[in-house]
Amino acid sequence: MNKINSILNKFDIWDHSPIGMCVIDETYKIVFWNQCLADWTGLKKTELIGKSLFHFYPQLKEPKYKVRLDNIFNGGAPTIFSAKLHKYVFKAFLHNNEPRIQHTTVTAVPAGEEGTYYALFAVEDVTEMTHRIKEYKIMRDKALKENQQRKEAEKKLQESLDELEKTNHELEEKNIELDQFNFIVSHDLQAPLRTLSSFSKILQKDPENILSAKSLQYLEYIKNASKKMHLLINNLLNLSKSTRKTIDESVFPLDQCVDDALLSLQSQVEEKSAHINREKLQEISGDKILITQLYQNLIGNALKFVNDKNPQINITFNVNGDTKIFGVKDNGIGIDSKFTSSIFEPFKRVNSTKYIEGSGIGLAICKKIVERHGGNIWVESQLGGGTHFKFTLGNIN
Amino acid sequence: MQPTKDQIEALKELINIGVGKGAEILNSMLSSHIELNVPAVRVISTGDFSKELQKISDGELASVDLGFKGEFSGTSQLVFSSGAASKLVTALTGDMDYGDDLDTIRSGTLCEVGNVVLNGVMGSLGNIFETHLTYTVPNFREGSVNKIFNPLDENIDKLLLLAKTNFSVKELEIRGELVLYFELGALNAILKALDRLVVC
Repeated sequence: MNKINSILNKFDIWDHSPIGMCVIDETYKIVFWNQCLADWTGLKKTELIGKSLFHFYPQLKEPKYKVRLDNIFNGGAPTIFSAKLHKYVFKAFLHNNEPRIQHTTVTAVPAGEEGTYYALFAVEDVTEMTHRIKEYKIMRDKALKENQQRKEAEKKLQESLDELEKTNHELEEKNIELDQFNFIVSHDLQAPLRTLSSFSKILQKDPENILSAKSLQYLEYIKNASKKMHLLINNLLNLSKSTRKTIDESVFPLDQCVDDALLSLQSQVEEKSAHINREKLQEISGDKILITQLYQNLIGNALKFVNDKNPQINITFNVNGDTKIFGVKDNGIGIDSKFTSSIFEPFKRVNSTKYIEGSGIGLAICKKIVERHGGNIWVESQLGGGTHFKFTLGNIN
Repeated sequence: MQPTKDQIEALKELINIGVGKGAEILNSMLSSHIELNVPAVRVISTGDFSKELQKISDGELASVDLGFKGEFSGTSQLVFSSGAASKLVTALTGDMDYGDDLDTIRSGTLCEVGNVVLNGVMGSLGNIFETHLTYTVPNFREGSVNKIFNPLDENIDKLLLLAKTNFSVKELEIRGELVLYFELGALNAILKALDRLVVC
């Protein structure tokens, strides 16, 4: 008896445990009920000790519990009552009246006399953990769903990009074909034009004096038309070259391009008594021939569209943040603002061809050259208030 | 020492009795009917057992083990692939299918199922051999083959007892490996005790 009391006294230490502890003997009489279980269930130790566990928890009489518990009193293996399959063994509630979910392990404890055993219930409250796992699973499912949606969106985006790339590729091929067509047609048109022009000149000489004044006048029309067509074809060829020509990259002072452009336009500069103001330009990397052609076209336009005034042409250079902006500014007739975006398209002429010669391709060539150097070109102008063409040069394409 | 055909047959019967008891208890606990049987029992080397485990799954395994001490000491263990373990818990609890996920609460369920089966088997062996064994608390483990079973553990016999178990529940056939490994010399002691029973 003393041995039993000594064992029972040792159980008191479990009053300080955060785990619910209960000990019963082989008749299911409660011999220990710790403070934790008393707090959870509201059943005080003094009310329970010496009474049958079945009185308070009659469900433990069911075979699914009793068969397994009986084995414990023979010193059998520990028995587990898991939270998922049983929810709880000792019904208890939280402050919000929610049942405490429990994981219970029952083990055999020697009862003092040889071969006799108590059953010790160790009850863990896993309510919090169960809720956290549930919340985690909800979050995980949501994240998985979002991830799935993101993957689907990425897939659709990739499909669109692939489609775009395919269209771009097709467009590039079409452009190449068009350039080739342009080049071949322009080149092939030159030959009959030369024939037309040469025979017109021969006829105009009229060594036998058989042509009337009217016929000679008609021949002059043919000659002028041929000249105009020659100019047009040459510009078409230039436009084609500006796309097809392999970029010959080098580093050079931009001033050299302006020098070369002005040299080729010298007669027009002198004829119109044009005044050229130049900012000091820096070294750039690019195709010197194409950049020279760019300046030649822009300065040429500035010399052309001036009406009766003496042209004042400025070669400009500004820095805006990291961007270097080059330009050609004039005091000419200006451009109506409604044409400033379409002016760089081929054959777009915003001024009458009656007075000013030109093919309508020059600015389209400028745009191609700038784009092949990774830059942009635009115009700032007012009708009657002069024009300022500006461009940037980025990476060579 | 390799067991004779008679010894193997006797062991198979003992384990079947234990597993049957376990199934009976499980069916009283669960709303789903579960059938458990042991189609084969054999003694294999620890090396071969590692290979058997690798056959179950290249990836994660889940096990419940129960240590025992007494006249013969060792560990009894029920091993599943993580996927099969999760399927079993899902089938038994009617829970949502979480793939191979075995969280603490779900692994607690598997621990109880393993506990019932292993207690049935160990109880059956203890009764037949009329010997008292003390047990550890059942333990759940999850991981690679090396985490579940260490064939280089010098305390265990080089031979162990392997029984294949089939869990049939809700049209699912879930295979688990039930294995008993003993401390050095304990298997021989069991085989000798079996001989006495067979003779009787």
